[in-house]
Amino acid sequence: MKVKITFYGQAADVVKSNSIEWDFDDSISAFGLKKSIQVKYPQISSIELKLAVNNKMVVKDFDLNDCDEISVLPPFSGG
Amino acid sequence: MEQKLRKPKPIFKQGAISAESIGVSIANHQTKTEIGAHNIFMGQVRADEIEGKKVVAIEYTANEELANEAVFAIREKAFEKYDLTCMHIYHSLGEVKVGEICLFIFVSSPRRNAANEACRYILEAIKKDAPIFGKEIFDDSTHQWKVNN
Repeated sequence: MKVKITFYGQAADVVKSNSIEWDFDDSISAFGLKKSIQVKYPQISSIELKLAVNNKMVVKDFDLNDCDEISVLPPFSGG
Repeated sequence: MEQKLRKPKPIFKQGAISAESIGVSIANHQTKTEIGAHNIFMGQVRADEIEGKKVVAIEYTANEELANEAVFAIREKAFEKYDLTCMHIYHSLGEVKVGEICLFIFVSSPRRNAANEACRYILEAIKKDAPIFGKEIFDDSTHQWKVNN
């Protein structure tokens, strides 16, 4: 299963990448993916992150599907 | 009341929002004579000073699709909550220098209270719910990420 992960704002800054693709052998949930991101990029752990899957904010956990697009969103600071 | 079908409108403008475009926007409402009150909020990039370094600009990025949808939801809610005639919301993307306008909220109503309250409601909701990110650029080219209080 492959998902595309896009980092925004400070998250992109800290991981030094805007977008990556990840392969998983097993299924993974949205929160599971968040945890994996925090393990792979420990420097991101201090930032409070929200996720969106296919441009819908994740409110409660669910299993991801192949080709899902995940946005990793640090605290919003518009205005 | 007449029901209008409203669709998400893109809110983003590349760079600063010009004073001229704001003037044109105001002038465009002179034919809508049922309006009795406009309320405008303009966010301007402030030259904050942090540990001896001065902010010279803010560079905005966003998840545009998500932000447009979030602002659309805010608009719909504002129309439900308040007696409004119309509403225009623009936010900058990319670099906006200090002194320039990065956010423009323009709310019109027959009466002043609705316009006032709606404008404040929309502003707070945008800051809270729209995935927009501001990078404060300092005069020595370093940066820090803006935090909304």
